[in-house]
Amino acid sequence: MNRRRWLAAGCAQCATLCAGGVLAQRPVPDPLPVAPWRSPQRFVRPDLASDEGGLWALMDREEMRLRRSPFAIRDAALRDYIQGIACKLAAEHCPDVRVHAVRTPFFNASMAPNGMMQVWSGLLLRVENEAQLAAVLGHEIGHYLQRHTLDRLRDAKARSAFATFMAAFGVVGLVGQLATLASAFSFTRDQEREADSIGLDLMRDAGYDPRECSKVWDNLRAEAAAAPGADEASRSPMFATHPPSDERSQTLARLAAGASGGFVGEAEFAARLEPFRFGLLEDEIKRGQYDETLVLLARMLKRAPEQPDLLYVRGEALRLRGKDGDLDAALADLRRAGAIDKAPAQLYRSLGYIHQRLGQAEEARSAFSRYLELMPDAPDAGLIRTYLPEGKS
Amino acid sequence: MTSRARASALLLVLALSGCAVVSKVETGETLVRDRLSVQVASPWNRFERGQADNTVTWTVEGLYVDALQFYVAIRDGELIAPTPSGRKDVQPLTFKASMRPADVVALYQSLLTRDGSSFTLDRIEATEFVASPGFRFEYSLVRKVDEVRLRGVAYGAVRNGELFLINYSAPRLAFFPKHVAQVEAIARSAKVKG
Amino acid sequence: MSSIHTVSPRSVVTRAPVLTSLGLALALGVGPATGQTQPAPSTPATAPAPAASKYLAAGFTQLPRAAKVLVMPVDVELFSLSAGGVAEPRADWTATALGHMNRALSGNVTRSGLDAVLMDEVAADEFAEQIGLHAAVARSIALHHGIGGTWALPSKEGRLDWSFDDAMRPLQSRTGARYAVFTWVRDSYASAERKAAMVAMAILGVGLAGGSQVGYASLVDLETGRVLWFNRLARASGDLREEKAASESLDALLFGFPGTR
Repeated sequence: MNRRRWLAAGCAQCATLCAGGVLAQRPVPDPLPVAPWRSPQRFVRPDLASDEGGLWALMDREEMRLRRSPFAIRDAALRDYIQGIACKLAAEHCPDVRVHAVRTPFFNASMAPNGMMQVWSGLLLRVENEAQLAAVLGHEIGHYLQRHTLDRLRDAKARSAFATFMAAFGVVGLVGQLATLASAFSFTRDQEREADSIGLDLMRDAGYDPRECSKVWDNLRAEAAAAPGADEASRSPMFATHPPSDERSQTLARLAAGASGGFVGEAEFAARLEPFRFGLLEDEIKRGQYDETLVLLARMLKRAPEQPDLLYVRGEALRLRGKDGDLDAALADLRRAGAIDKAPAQLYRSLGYIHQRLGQAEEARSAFSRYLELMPDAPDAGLIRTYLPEGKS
Repeated sequence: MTSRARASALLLVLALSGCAVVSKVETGETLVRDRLSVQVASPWNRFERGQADNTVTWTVEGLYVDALQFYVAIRDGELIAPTPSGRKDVQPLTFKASMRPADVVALYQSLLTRDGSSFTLDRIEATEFVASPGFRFEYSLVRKVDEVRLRGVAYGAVRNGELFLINYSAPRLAFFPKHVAQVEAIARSAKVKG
Repeated sequence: MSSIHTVSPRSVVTRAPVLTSLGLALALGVGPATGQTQPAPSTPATAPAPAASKYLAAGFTQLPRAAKVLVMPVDVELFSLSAGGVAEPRADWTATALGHMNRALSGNVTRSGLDAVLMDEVAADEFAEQIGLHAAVARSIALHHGIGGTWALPSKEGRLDWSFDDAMRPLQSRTGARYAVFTWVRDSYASAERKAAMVAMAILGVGLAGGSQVGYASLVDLETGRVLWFNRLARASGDLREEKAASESLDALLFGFPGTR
């Protein structure tokens, strides 16, 4: 099945180059040459001696490591779900795509030339529906179909950044190396535009609503903006390899503007993620980056205001951040959560700590007692018991 | 693991410049950073601290395997580990004297997970440490860089506004079980001087 | 984590994590000019090692004849050194080297009168934790015992004294082997451009490092967990891409490997 897509149509709207704050403004370029895009034939394993073949074989090794990794998410239902989406998007390339979900609390997805696709759990927490997940997967498949990674490899070699490239696609995915990665390895603007364009095509063809695409990037940028100082590329693995820009968001929005309908899948996605969500929220809190966490939670709560797990986690983030006004805001969230059915028992511990902090001994004891009632075998039960006077649990 | 990484990087520099890198910890009483005295009953190896590091590190099997770290008299407002240069996004790991045990654990957890390692608190309880009300916690850590599964135990107390903390981590297979009893003994023997 | 182990000092410095400094640490043994070369024995590698050998655990000298030895999948990676000194992984060379090394290793083990049992990559999935643990311990031994010197751990008193206790028993029950041999090699070769650059710089009086071969091999008693024998390799010679030269490299790697009674 061949698809035709006139890149010019998309790029006629790429009127301004918005350089993300680092590079100077450049003059408006001539429109890219008009060329139809067709999905390539399925890739055949290249000769081992070629650089593409070498890369392929290296990725096979990384995939083997990923299979053995303690960070791999082995839940079959979740993996099959994501694999199913990737398959729909990849169409005739479906048999070559292998999805691996990885437990790492950052937004990232990548696809290696051998078909290995990684999706990090931070991404699963942040997308709001199935269409947004499809948007990111489709974008990565776009890079795969156009062999962009190989191009980057050739550039990276010249710039002595090959090892950094491996860090991006290998299992290890060192999150501390982002600045080096961004400067040496990131996809070019043209490659990003192509992947965006192809990704939208794939989404449309698979029946998804393409208007969800630009939202993903906008949400991500909003979260990155919450942390002061450094530029986005050094804060997010995704942005290190996929340079964000206002232009991309605008283009995506415009490209999709004509669409109507298409599958969004908010309920379906939520149902699939439900068994994991609390664990992923805990992973997020553990990062200790409360400003970013709070931006994320504000967005999540805006869509679903009465979710007790979200209220608890936001309360925790506020408590731990502890800036002016945070404790009061935390109390409000935690109390609201407590009034909702199936609220996590940990919220009572948080309440206990806040009351302790505010010098409210009676309320603290009451909250801690409730926590111990609900979770008598919690890891910190021994510690919490010492906060209750003898004989009063 | 971040502080261990830094320690190793600095030690490489020291080694290249010919400084003594590792020394033996004799059995008997030892003073760490002039303030913390501990009783040692089996052989340990001590790494001299790097310039920017707040910890003293001991090991039995070598730095890539196990590490016993001492945080001695960390004051209010002090960092428990330096913020990686060039990373303005990362929140600095500042100790505050008002921190409760759970807060100190959260602080430590942020340090250990900076490189993407995963941390799970297995247990925390109140206990006496350096003759003060303190805490002991156990944790599991999957080290990101080589995916080795570690277990850890730590003792801590905030005494007169200063943090004293001893942390030991080693692979959960073979090594943690082998050395943990010695670590507990060292921790329980700890006293603050001055 | 082969992908992050390179031997180019420049590449290592750009990466912070401690374990990549293994590349540098092992390369430190190579020295500023040429490497300290392991003696390439003309006798088979299974000749008994010198007494009180640094390579052997205390009180251990020989393996029982016909003992079953598990040969773990060889962890090898070959690189090409670009003109600028960047080590680029070469999967075709690695695949070839893998073949040569596995054959040479089994051959050496069998020639010593031992029963070699190969473990393949898929079966190794089951023992990922033990294999990962061994790699961390081997790095430690390579640094603190193999290189030693300023890095030596005084408590070890110069002895090869590391043990996995009962952590390796699952491999024993699975395969029936009492012992296991682990090997790890990272090997780089100067590309033509690199060699040209080396010549050019030499004329200017600047010495550029060529390729180097670093690695280790260990023999572990799967029942007691003791590391019985360990050898570290760090030199500027050796070629794993050709069968005969690979065989020589393997001999160097297995220097001091215990004989059988």
